[in-house]
Amino acid sequence: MIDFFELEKKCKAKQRKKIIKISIFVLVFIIIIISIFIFFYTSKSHSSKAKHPIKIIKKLKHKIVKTEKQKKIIKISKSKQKPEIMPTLKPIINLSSIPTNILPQLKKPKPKPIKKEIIKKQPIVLQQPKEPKLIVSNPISFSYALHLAQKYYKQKDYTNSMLWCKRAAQINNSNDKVWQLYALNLYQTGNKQKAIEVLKTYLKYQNSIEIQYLLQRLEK
Amino acid sequence: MYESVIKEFNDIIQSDDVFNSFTFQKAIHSLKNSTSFLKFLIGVPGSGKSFFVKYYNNKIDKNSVILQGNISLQQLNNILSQNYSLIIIDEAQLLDIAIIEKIRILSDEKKAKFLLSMHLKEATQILKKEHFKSRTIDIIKLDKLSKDEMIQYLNTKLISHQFTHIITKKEFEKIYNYTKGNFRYIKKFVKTLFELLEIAHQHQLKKYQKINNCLLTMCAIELGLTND
Repeated sequence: MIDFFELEKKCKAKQRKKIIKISIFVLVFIIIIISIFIFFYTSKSHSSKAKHPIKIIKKLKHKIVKTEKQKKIIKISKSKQKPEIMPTLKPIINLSSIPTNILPQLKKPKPKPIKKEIIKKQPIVLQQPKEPKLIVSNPISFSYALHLAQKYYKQKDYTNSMLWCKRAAQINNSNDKVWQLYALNLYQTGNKQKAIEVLKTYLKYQNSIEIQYLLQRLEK
Repeated sequence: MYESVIKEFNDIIQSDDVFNSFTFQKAIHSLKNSTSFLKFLIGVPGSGKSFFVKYYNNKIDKNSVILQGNISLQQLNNILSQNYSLIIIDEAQLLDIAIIEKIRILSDEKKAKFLLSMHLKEATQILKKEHFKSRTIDIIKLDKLSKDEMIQYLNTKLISHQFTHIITKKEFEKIYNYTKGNFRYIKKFVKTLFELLEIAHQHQLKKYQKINNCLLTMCAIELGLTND
């Protein structure tokens, strides 16, 4: 004889088991999918940070090359920054030995800067300066100063001539003509002894036949 | 309400109540045309071997004889003396090895034709032996019913009792899944199903007035056809 209700209970229990099994299976499946997703996601993030060793080596090489290039650039820039020092003229005359009241104050030529400044040439104006002053910074050429000194000497303006001789000597103190003219100016103004001293001191530092000849004439 | 249907599916062999499934027709044809003196009719329990031999004996070859189970040598000799066209031994797995050997010798000497009906497992063990391998033996196999054959069989049975469309297609599929095309299980299952319907009808259980999934599961549990 069939027990209907007992069978019914068993049937319901079986159905419940089936539902539980299905739900567990679904849960496990979802967990597996999520874990796979997380695994791949984390592995991708690590791979982006931890790069391939070959790539790392290439990057390092590139860096090294960069640093070397930068060093080169720095070197070149440093070398460029050094100002071009003009060869200084060796003082022919020891300025400390010469009394300052006789000779004009000679200054060492300054090194020229790299930047070439456009020197604005002032127009040459042949006018008698009222009170000519020794302006060191005035960019007048040696030849012009000498020319003025010679011109004043011909005009028998010995004071101006002497001033321009000093100016010329500031520019170039190793020229015989300047010292020759300066001595002659002194002689003309009645300072014969001073002229001789100037020539003698000049001859100490530089041999010049013309200066010697002038000296001999003055001493006679 | 369902008493007549329940009787219909009783596990009784009635040779008139034949269902010409494909496997059944194939077995009949091979047995008729067989020339060997020793034949094996094999199949799983409930595949219809007993019905087959009965049907063959009643309808096809009336000069054949059916012997049941374990027979002795004396019985065998008595049968041999009566000159039957075919000696059918049902449940031949119960035979002794000596009897089987005797049968083999007799079939070799062509003194009688034998049809041994047995379960598949036992048949495979016997046929593995060397003295059976070397001989020409006909093996007739009864397979399970197909799904369509099962539906056809049940519908013809139910229609005869005016129960049309009582079982849906899905329910047929479930019944087939449980019974796996085994004739005996199909009959038992349907019988149990209608018994439960009868009980539900008697107790006026509204939930079980029609066949549903729960009723089918209950039948499977009753017959031990579930996996649990």
